[in-house]
Amino acid sequence: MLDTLFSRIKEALFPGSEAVALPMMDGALKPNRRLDDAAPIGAELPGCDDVVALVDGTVLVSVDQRILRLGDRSTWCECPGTVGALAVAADDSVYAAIAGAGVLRIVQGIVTSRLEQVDGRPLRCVTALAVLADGRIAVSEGSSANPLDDWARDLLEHRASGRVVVATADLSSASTLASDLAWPAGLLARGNALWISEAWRHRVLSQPIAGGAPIPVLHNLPGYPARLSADPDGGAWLSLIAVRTQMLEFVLRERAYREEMLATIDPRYWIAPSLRATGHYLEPLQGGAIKKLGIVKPWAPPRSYGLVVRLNAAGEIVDSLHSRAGGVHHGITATLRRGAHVIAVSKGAGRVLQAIVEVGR
Amino acid sequence: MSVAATMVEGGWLRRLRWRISLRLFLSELLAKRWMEPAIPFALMVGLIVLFSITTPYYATLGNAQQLGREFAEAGFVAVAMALTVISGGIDLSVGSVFALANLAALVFFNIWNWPVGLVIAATLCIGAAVGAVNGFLIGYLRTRPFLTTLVTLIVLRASVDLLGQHFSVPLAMASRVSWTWDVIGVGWIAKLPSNLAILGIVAIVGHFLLSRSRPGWHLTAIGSSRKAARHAGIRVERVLFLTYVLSGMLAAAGGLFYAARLNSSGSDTGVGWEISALTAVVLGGVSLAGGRGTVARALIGAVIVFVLVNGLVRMGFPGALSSTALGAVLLIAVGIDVKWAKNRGKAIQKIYVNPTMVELPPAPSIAADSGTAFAENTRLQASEEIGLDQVQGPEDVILDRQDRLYCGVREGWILRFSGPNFEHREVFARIGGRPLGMAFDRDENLIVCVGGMGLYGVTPAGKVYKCTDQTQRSLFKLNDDSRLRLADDCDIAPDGTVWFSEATIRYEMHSWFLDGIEGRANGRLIAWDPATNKTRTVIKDAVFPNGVCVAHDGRSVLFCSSWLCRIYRHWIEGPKAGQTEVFADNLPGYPDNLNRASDGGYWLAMVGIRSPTFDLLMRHPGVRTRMIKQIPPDEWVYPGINNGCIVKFDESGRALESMWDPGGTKHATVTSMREHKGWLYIGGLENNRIGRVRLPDADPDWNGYDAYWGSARGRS
Repeated sequence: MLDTLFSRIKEALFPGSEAVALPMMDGALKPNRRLDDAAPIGAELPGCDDVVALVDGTVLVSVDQRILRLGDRSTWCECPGTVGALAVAADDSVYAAIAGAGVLRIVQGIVTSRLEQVDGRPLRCVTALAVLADGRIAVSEGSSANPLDDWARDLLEHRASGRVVVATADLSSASTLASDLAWPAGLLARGNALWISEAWRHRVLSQPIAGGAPIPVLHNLPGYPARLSADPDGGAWLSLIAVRTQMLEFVLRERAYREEMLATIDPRYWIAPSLRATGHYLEPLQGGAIKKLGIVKPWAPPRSYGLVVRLNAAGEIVDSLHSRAGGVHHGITATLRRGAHVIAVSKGAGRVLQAIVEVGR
Repeated sequence: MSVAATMVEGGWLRRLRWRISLRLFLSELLAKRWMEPAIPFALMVGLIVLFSITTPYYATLGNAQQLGREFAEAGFVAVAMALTVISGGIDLSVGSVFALANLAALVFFNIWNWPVGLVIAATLCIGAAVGAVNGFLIGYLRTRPFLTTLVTLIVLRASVDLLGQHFSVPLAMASRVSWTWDVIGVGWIAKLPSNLAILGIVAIVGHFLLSRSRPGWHLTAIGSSRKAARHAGIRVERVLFLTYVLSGMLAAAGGLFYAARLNSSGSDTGVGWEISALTAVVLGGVSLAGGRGTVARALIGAVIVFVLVNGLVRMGFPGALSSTALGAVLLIAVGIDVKWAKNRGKAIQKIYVNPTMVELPPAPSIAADSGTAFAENTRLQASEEIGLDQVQGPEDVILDRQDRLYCGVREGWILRFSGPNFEHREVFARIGGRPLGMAFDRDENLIVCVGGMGLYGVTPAGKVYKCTDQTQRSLFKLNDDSRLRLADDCDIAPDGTVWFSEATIRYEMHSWFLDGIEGRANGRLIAWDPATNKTRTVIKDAVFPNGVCVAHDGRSVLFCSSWLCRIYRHWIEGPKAGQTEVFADNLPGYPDNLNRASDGGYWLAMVGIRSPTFDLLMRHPGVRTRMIKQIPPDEWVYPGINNGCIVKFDESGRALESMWDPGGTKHATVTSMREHKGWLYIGGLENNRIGRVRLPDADPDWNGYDAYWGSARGRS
C-alpha cells in the first residue's frame, strides 16, 4: 500500500524512473532451460491453448475448434467456434470458452447450455474459467474492447476493461464479481477466495467470492501472468505468456509513438510481446538480440519467452521453468500437474510439453 | 556541397526544429578542455562586474592599473602553489619564501648595494635554494609535501623574523635610488605595470610548459598517479625536485617585486599568503588531488581572491569579516567545482546524442512473392563456409591476384586464407584498430580503412604503413575534426587517389549505432592522393557514408549513405566533376559496402532491413532521445540486421536482383561482398565465417585487381 503510494509519487516526480523497477529474474525465478528440455507430448498441435483433466484422468486439450484427448488425439467434442479456456466440474461436465461467443457447458461431449452475456454486456473475450467449491463457475473476460487475439493491442492501449463474472453451474444466470481489470487472464478457486491473474498489471489478486476488495497475492511480476492451475500440494502453477522488457515498458510510456505504431504498422511487427519467436527481420530487433558470431545470446531481451512459475499455498514463488531467447518453447498458456510431471501448453510453439517437477521445492 | 539538405521531408518547421540543435552545440562546447574552469571564470567576471557597479571609480583605467600592480605579486605566489598542487603535492612555504625574498632583496639592494641585476639573480637563487631543499626532501627522500613544506614554512618564518630584527634599523635608514629598481617596482611595460606584464609572460610560458611540453606532461602525469608515472618511465624524483625549485623561484620573484614596489620589511609580509594562494588555486579549479589544473586556472582563482578581498576592504568591511567572506566563497566554490568536475562528463554524455528527424518514404516490397528485384529468397543460404569459427567479424573481404582471401577482423588483424579451399589461415598484418574496408592499389598494396586509426596500407610482404590519419579541420566547428575517427570503406580511382568514407566524426567504432540513433550528417567523403600525400575532405556532411566504389569507367565515385537508405554518385571527372547526384534511393534496407560486379554492375551489401518500428522511430527523434536515456543499449531497437541480403545494381542505379539469407542463419549483418572468378565472397561485421556462393552467370575469369588495374600489368 505504502509501496504503491511511494512509487506513484516517484513516477509523478521523475517520469520514467519506474523503468528501473523491472524485477530481476533471480532467486526462484533464476532462468534455466527446463522448458527447452521438456519433452513434447506427441506431434505438434498448432493452435493448442488450454489443458484440463477429467475426473477419470483423461487429459483434454483445446485446439482451434475442437477439444481433443491428449493421449490419442481423438476428438472429444467439436465446438461451434475457436475453443480457448477449459474447466472441469466435479460432476465431470466441462466448461469451454468460445472466442467471441461466451462459454459452453459440455456434458459427455454434448453441448448442453451456453452463457453469452452477463449484465447486459456480451461475453466475447473469455480468457479463463474456474469451478468454485460450491459448483458455480467463474469466468474472466480479458477485455470488453478487444477480441482475444488482439491481446497485444489491449496491452498497448492501456486498457483495463476486463471483468470476472460468476455463473451458476447450469449457466442460467450470472453476475459480475470484479470489473475494470487489466486483462484478467487466469482464475483459480482457493476456498472462499478466487485468485485472479491480472496480466497488464503484472499481478495476481485474491478476490473474496462474497465480494469486497481484493488482496494482492503477487505483484510486480517480471511477465504477464495468465492461467493458473492447482497443484495437489496446495500450491499452484502460473503460466506467463510473455515477459516484460524495458523497451516495452518504455513504449508503454510513449503515447504518440505507440498510437502511431498501432495505427500504421502491421500488428506482427509491433514492439509488443509475442507468443511465438519468429526472428523475422521486420520485427523490432533489440540490441542484445543481434546475432554475434552466429548466435543469439539466451539473455537477449526477449520478444517471446516461455515461463511457468510454481507457487506455494501462500502464493510465493518457489520454482520456475524457462525457455529463454533462442529457445522455442515460448508463449505458455496453460499448465496441468500430472504426478511427477507438469504438462505445459506452449501456444507459441504449438506444442504440449511435459516437464519434470523437481521435488523438494 | 551538401547532401544532407535533402534528407528529410515533411513540414519544414518541424524539420528545422530537429535540424538545429542547441544541445548539440552545448554538448560539444562542454566537452572542450578549456570549458573546465567555466564556473571560476564566471565567478571572476561576476565579481569584477559587481564591484564595478557598487564601488565608485572601480572601473577606471587608473584603478585597474593600481589593482594589477598589487595583484601581480599574489599571482606569482599562486602560480608557485599551483605547480606543486598539480604535481600532487603542496608548497606551504610559498608565503615565507615570499617574505624571505622580500627581505633578502632589500638587504642586497639597500645595505650591501649590489647591482640590481645581481640582486635579482641572488633573490631568485634564494627562492630556488629553498625550493631545492623542499624538492630534495619530497622528491628524493619521499617525505610528505604537506609536512615538509610546513616545516620549511616555520623555519623560514622564524629566520625572517630574526633577520628582520637584525636589519630593521639599517633598512630604515637606507636611501639608495636606482632607475632599474624603480622600473621593477613601479615602472611600466607597454602601459601595464611592469610586474603584471612579467607575470603575464611567466603565465604564458608556464601555460605552454605545462600543457604543451614534455616536462609539463610529466608533471601532470605524476600528479595523476605517481606510481603510473614511474611505470611509464618518467623520472619522478627529478621532475618533483625541479617543480619545487621552480615553485621557490616563482614565490621569490613575487617577493622581489614586492620589495621593489614597497621598500618595506614589515614583519607581517607574506603572512597567510600560502592560505590565500591555496584558496586561489582551488577556486580556480586546480584539483587538490593533483594532476588536473593549468596556470590560467590558478590565475583566475588568484584574481577572484584578490578582487574579493580588495573589494570588501574598499566597501569598508573589517578585515576579519572579509576573511570570513573569503572562506565562505571558497567553501561554496569548492562545493560547486567538485560537483561540476565530477558531473561534467555525465552532463555531456546526457546531451551528446542529438537525434534528428529522418523520414523515409514507404520501402519497396521485399515479400518473396512481390516480383521486385528485392524479393526475399534463400540464395545466400547455399553458401560454402570459409574459416568457420576462425574469424571474428570479417567486415570486408578481398581477394588478390593469387586468389588469396583477405579479411579484417575484430582483433585488429588482417587475416589471409589461401590454398585450394582456403583452409590455410595466417595473420597477414597486425594493424590494430578495427580494420574495415579494403582495396588493392596498382602496386598490390592493400589499402585498409581502420576504424579508430585512419587509412593504412599493407605491402604485399605484410609491412604496415600509414597513409593518412587526418584531414583539414573545418572552420566553425567546435569539435576538432581533423583526426579520422571512423574511416569506413575505400576505393581507388585510376589516378591512384584513394577515396574513402569516414562514417561519423562524432562516435567511435564501438558506438556506431549512436550515430544511427542520431541520424545526422556527421560523416565525410575524403580523398587521399598518395602522390602528394595530401588529404582533402570532399563532402563533409554526409549521413553515415559507408561503402565506397569507384565506377567502372573511373569517372565517378559511388558511396552509400546508410541511415538515408540511399546511394550517391559523386563525379570526379568530366563535365559534372564535383557534383553529387542520387544513384539509388529509398532502398528497403541499410546499404553498406559497395563493389564492382563482373557484368558492369555493382554489388551492394544490405546490412539490415528497414523494420517498420525502426522507421517510425526515425521519424520520432524525441522518442529516440528518451530511449537512449531511459533504457540500456541492449534494449534499444535496431533495424533488422539479423538478416543477410545482397543486391545487385546496374550502372544506372536500377536494382537487378537480390540474394537473401532470411533471418541470417548463416550470414547475418552482411557488410561486404567481393566477386572473384565466378564466386561471390561474403563478409559480415559480427559473423564467425566468410561465405561464398557460386555465380553461375558471371565471367569466371573476372577478378577485382584486373578490373581496376588491367590484366596485362604484372603478369609479364
